Amino acid sequence: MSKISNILKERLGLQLLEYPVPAHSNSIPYSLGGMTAASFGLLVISGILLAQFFIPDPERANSSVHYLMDQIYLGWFLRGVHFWAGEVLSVTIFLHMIRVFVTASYKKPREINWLVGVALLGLMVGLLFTGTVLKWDQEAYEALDHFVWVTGEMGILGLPLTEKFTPGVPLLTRVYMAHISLLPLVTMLALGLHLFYVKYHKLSPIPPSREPGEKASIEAIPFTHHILYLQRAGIGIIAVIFLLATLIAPPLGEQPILGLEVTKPPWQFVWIYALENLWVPSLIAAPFVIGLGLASIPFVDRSSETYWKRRPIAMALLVGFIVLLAGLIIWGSVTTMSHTM
Amino acid sequence: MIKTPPIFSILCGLVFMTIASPQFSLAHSGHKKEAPVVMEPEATDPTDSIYTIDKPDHAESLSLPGAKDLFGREDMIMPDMPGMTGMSHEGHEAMPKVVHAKREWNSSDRSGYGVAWGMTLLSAGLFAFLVRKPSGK
Repeated sequence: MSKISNILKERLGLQLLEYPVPAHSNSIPYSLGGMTAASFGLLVISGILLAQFFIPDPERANSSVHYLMDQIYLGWFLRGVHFWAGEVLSVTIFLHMIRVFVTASYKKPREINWLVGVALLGLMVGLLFTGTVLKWDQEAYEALDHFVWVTGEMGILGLPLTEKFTPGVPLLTRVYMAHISLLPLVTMLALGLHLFYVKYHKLSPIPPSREPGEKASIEAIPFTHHILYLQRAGIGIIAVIFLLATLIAPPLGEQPILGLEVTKPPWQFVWIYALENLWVPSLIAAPFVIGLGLASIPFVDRSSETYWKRRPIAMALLVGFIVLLAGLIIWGSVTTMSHTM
Repeated sequence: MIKTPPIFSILCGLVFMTIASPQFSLAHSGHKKEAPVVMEPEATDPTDSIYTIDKPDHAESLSLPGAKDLFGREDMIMPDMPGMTGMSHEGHEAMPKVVHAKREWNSSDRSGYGVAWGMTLLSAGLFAFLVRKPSGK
């Protein structure tokens, strides 16, 4: 067995993966990025299969999803896997960002990789949004309705994202194109860049709890051991997704009634729905402010301190942000909107 | 000089008004039967999608209207929507109720339900095996 292993290592150059990484990489907080990547991989595979059954035409999109769910063998499971992988990814990517923030892994020399991570978050939000629209039920229509309003308000900047840009081509068809080709392609490129910089700058160390200047000894393990750990975590994530897909069917409504605004968005977007109720232009302002705020973090927080107990302002901001977000999600989930667009 | 018959002028005016403001043809108490006549384009736009070529009379419903349409018209309803056949726009009480889509428990009647459970248990078993196996071996 080891002879075959040696032959494969020599032929495939696998020994290059034996480089040392910190032992703490084999822990859940430092594997959240890997778990997110596992979910993304499952999304790509299930998405390719789903695309075989989807008709990206506003008149037939919804019925094609219903057909998949009701008539295709295991179609309901396939859609469930795709949906729940997106849900799990939403959670793991958020937790990954919190871990990176708490351990100050965005600080010098990893600022650029933080920016790439923020871009990846934006791309994932884009994929989630476009995926929500594709099922073309009432919720999907209203999501696109809001998007159309935002692009209209953006004037010339929003023009390429409107129907006027490509007359005669349904916006849903272009959303489909973005969901299955443009966004995944850019995401994969950004993911490659993200991993390259993790390798280049090495995995960020655990912030020392002792005084600055004193260095803790870092135990190292081969990277291949970390791969095995990630493989385990990935299989665990897949098992959870499969279980959820088997038990719970994702929501799917009927063909939308245009002009109505009666549904609420998925929980990942409910916070902005709540903000919209307070002030409609927050639909444009909130994503812009949050994106800019996230991107500016490494350039505003220039101190070299990485231990969380000695970063009270950063921790207070983090807790405040999480509480605000959770509050908006809960409020948006229970409240009734007092306006229509 | 050719004298235009009055009836022709009236028809032209009606056609223009209907095309210029489609809501006239869909207005409350409007006659739905007239809509296909005035909506039907004479030629398919070369930039239309393949779907619009098949059903030109439904061109409006095939694509999402622009922002003005979306937010300006409250009664915009797809003419061929299931359950809307024969429905007029004479009263809002006639508007169909939107059934809110929710997550639901999967029924065991789903095709391949057992296979789905098998795949779930297989992945869970594989995970359990990998957890028991020491990392790096």
